[in-house]
Order: sequence, then structure tokens, then C-alpha cells
Amino acid sequence: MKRSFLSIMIVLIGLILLACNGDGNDLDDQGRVTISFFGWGSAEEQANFQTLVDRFMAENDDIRVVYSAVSADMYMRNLNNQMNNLPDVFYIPDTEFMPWADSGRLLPLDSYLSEAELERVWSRAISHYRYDRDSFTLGEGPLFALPKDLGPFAMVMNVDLFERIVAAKGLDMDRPDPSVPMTFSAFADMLESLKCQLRTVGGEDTCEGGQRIFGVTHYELAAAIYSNNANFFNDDATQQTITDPNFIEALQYIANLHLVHGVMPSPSEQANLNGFQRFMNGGGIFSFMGPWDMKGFWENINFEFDLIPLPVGPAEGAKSTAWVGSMGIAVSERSRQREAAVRLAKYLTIEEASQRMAYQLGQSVPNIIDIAEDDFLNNVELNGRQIMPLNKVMFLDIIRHNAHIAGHPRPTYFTYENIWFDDLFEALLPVFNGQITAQAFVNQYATTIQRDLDESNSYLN
Amino acid sequence: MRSASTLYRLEKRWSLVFIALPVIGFFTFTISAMVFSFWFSLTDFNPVRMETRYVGLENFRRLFADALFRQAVFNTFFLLISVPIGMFFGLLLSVYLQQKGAKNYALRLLYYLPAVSSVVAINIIFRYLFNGEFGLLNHLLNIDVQWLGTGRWPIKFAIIIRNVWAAMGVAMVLYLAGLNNIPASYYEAADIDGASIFQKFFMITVPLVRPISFFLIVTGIIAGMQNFADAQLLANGNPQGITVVYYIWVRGIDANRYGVASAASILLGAIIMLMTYVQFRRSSWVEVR
Repeated sequence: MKRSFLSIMIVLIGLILLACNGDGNDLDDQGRVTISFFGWGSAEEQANFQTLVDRFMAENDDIRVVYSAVSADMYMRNLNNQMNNLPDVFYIPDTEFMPWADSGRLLPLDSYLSEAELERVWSRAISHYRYDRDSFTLGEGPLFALPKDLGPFAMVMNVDLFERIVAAKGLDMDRPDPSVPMTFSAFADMLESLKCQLRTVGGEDTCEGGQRIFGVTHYELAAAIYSNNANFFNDDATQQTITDPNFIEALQYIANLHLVHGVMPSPSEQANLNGFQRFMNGGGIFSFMGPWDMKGFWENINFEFDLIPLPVGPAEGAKSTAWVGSMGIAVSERSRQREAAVRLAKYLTIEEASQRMAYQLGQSVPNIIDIAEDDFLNNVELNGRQIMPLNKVMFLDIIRHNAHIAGHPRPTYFTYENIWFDDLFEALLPVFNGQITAQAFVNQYATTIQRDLDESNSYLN
Repeated sequence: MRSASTLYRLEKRWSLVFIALPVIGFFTFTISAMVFSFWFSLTDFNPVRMETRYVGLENFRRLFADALFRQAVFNTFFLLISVPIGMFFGLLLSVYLQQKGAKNYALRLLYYLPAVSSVVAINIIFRYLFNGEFGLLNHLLNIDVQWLGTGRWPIKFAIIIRNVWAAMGVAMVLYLAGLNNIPASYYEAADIDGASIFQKFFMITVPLVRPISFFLIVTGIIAGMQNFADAQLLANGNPQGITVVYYIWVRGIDANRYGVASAASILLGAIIMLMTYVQFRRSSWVEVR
């Protein structure tokens, strides 16, 4: 009996150890190497990427890709949990890029790419994922990820709602210029004149006694700050610059949209229904959208939408500047199948097939410049609602920059930690609620944000 | 044929195996986690980085300097108000249902349903109910309160209302069991003495269900201190409604500041242990004399 007891224990321990053991074989029975690819996205985006992965495997019969994905809000937690056994290929949001590149967990990709391959892609997208680990400098050094996309977060307009209200109020007002930005004050004035409680009586629209329509559903903090020639910190993110008068002016402009002009939901009203949902529900004329929203707008709303330039502030040298988000596709430095993993990363980011598919599915602006400026702008193989937004050149102008329009990465791209931004955003509520002015706020918060930046930068040594 | 002593030894050996499983589980998943958490609280551990530095008590200093943590601590303690309120309503309900006699299974089921319903589903439904623009509550009461808004108190009261509603059922079931153990003769004697219904409630019922009240208050406070779902789902991260556990989540899991989050966990654990200890030390008040 003693022996049988010992035998059971040995078998149990053996089974446990076996379960913990990874697959030591690199080739499957068809002679293919297996790599893992981890991403995020809605069910639709996952289906799109599965299609891309299937195509990749059809064209690369020596590679088997195991694709898995979770929702965007769960992604980083999941990735962090796999830290000791990272997937071969995975998404890396640009706001998380710096610590990951700094840690040495990402494979430098330069040696796998030719100049010709890189020249076809937006140079901003490539430099976005360069990082010098010695000088802690973004935009320089090795390339640690390839851009899945560049996502300009532009201002979007509910064209139908705008025109209904203009007609209902009998206004003599044209649509905002699609290429020349309005000023902060002109934009606020326009929204004031569009105030409306929309109701349809006998087929006629009236602006009394109906649903309250907000001029703008919310306002992107970085969009206002950048568009008034201000920033959150200096070039190397070591010194806060929120005490800059341009910053204060932009901050007060956002607050005043609700407090003075009454054209934007209050913070409490935004807590009831976020700006994006309010726009989708037809509760606001203007809002913000990225290229990744195109598919949802094609399929889930029934009004015409279009892009306009972000309003620009009165500060000297100010340009209409949207924030530009991005997602990188990185290869684990510990991948045992680096060549195969890089091949997949390249396929998903800089191959023509994937880039055409990306815009045709309403996911992103193509990374390849020629495809973006020709096929994407000319709506090749798009029809019906898919040609919206008509002013999609705005997305490209934000990426390319022109005399009036520019784009800039999100502030959290430049810092090791993101807590400072979350805390700033929460601390700003009294400004947006009208309990304190922007000037008074920055006076009292400057030391806090500087302390937060210092803590973030303390990792870089 | 085996002797009795051999069987005894065999049974003893197997009993150790069965005892070992939960003990190993406890050490693996609870004690080791606590030890790691304590160690992390003294380091700047960040899973992305390859190296971890010992920082002494720096994380505790950061914790107390963090306005969000102070807010979370205040909220957590304030929201504990829902524990006695839920117990009180649970007791009232149980008395009512006991007086209704045996034909109250539907009501019992109805009141107990929140206890067996998904916390996620409940919070999502309450978020709709409390919505300041199109919520049912404002509409029915014809009021304009931004329950989910950025005001200091509305979201706290929204969470308390939800928690009281959810806690009543559990309290009711336990109190019902307790009430059934109170001899009817006590109430008959009180009736003979001319006691009013309130006197009977406060002089007989309340004292005789003290052990249950003690259990409910201890478990209620522990659960309240560990509250997370309300902060995440009902308050949706609204700083006026976040709790310490939610703070641990956003700072540790979301922001990779595991050191600070672990420091908060250690503090929270210590506070819960202290409060439970004090309650047990004062547990003489539950003895029914």
C-alpha cells in the first residue's frame, strides 16, 4: 500500500511537470514553424485579422500562426501577465511603447528591413517606433516595432444634424470650411448659434421643446492644447509647461464651451453618456473620430458624417493640431522564431495586401504612402457609405502636415508612465465644473504634475 | 487480513493527503501572495522592467502623498454606512416575513434574488437607473440629480442605495433563521406585561439576534473594505466613488506600479485585520444573557 501511495504521488507530480513543460518541437508534422500573434479588437476586427493571418499562412506555407486577441481594455493586462512568455508577435500601443522598448523586451527590426521597404511608409510612422536605449530618446535609435497604423483623431461633424438645425433656425450658415480651421472663438460662436432642442412636428423640424442637441459632445484635451501652440511639457518631457499662458487659454476654452457657451455637456452629463456614444445617438453636431471608427460609422449610424479641421487657438504660431495615436506591432526579443515572426509583422504593417484591406475594412489609413494618397483618397473598391468621410484628406493632412493642419503624438507617448496624465485629467474636473479657473488650477497643480513627471523620468537612468 | 492498527495508519496517511491539498493551496495562493505583496511593497517592481530595486518605505510615502488614495480611503469608509443600514432593513423584512407566516416564499425569494444575482449585471442595471439624463429614478421621482456625475456625494449615495438593496436579502435570510429560534413565550410574556410592538422589537428581537448581527457586521465590513465592483461598474472609475481595492487595481494592474499597489494592499489587509480583531475583542456584546 505504501508503494501504491508513492506511485500515485509520483504520477501526479509527473503529470503536473508534464503540463508545465512547453512544446520543445519547433516544427509541426507538416514541417511548419509555429508562431503566436496576440492582438486586440472587436469581434469584427479579430475576424479581419484572422482573415489576414489566413492569407499570410497561405502565402507562407512554412509558418503556422496561432492568433488570439482580447478586447482593447483588457489587452495590456493580458500582455503583462504573459511577460515571462511573450507571444512572438504582439501589439504595442504607442502610449506603452517607451517602457517596453527601454526594457529590452522588443526585438530591434532594422536588420530585417530594407531602405526601400521603409521609404514607402510614412516616415513619422517609422520614427514613432525608434528608441535609443542609451540616451532614452524617442524617434532615434533602433526600430522596435512596425506601425500597425497612424490614427489622426480628427473632428467629425454630423452633417445631417447640422443642416437640419440650420434650416430649422433659418440660419444663413454654410458648413465649416473643410480645409481651413476656424478659430476657437468662431467655433464657439457657431455652436452658440446652433443651440437647439430639436423636435419634429408634422415633418417639420423645430428647435423648441425637443431633444437637447449639444454643439460638441466633448473636447479632446490634447487637441485644444496642441492647437494653441502649447504642450504639457518641454521637448524631453522633463519640465512641465502647463503654466504657459497658451496652455491656460486652451484649457479655459474647453471649460467655457460648457460654462459660458452652454454648447457642450457638463462633466456630469458626460459621465451619463460619453461623447462618442452621444454623437452616435445623434445628440451632438460635432465630436472626434479616428480612422478606426470608420467601420462603425458606416454600419451603425444612418447620418452623413464628415471631417473638419480642429479649431485653432489665438496663440502666435498656433496650427490646427490633432493628436495622432498609433499601434505598433512588435516581435518579442525572446522569440525562437524571429525570422518568421518578423515576416508576419511586416506582412501586417507594410505589405500592400494588408494595407488595402485595412482601409477597405474601415480600420485605418494605409501606412504605405502611395496606397493612402491614391487608393484610399480615391475610394478604390469602396462604395455606398464606405466613401465617407468625404473629406478624408483631412486624415492625411494631419499626418503630412500643411500650412494650417498638423498632427502630434499623444502626450503619454513621450513619458515612461501614464499616471501623470490620468491624474491630471481627474484633477481638471473642478476647472470643467467651473469651481476654479484654469489659471488658478495650473498655479496650484504645477508642482504636482512636475512631481509626477519626475517620478516617471526616475525610471530612465 | 489487515490489523486495525495498519488500517489506522493507512487512513491517517490518506487523511494527511486530503488535509495537505487545501493547506498547500492556502500557502501557494494566499500566504505566498501575501509574502510577495509585502516584498513588492518595498520595491519598485514593474513587470515591464527587467530589474527591481529595493526602495524601503518609499511606496508608503507615495501612497499617503497621493490624493487619489486618500479619496479612496475616505470613500471606502464612508460606503460602509450601507452595512448597518442593510442589516436594519434586512431585520425589518425578516420580522415582517415571519409574521406573514409560511406563505411568504415568493417574497423571500424576491428579496434574496440580489444575493444570487451577478454583481456585474446588477451594477449595469443600476447605472441605467441612476443615469442623470434618462434614468428611471430621476424620471419616477421627478428630480434632477446627477447620480453618476462628478459631484462629491451623489455617486456615494447611489452606491449606498445599491448596496443596501443588495445586502437586505442576505441579512433577511439569516435573521429569519435567528427569529425562528426565539421562543414565542418571550413575546407572549411581553404581551402580558403590555409591551408595545417597538418595545418587543428592541427589547427582545434585537438582543436575541445579536450573534447574527455580529456575523453580518464582521462579514459586511470585510466585504465592504474589499469592494471593487461598485467602483468599477457603477461609479465607472469616478474618483468620488472609487474604493481602496479599485485604487489597487488602477495603480497596480493598470499602471504597473505594483509597489504602490502592494503597499496599499498591505495597509488594507492590516486595517481589516485590526477592525476584525477589535470586533472580536468586543464580541462579549453578542452573548445573550
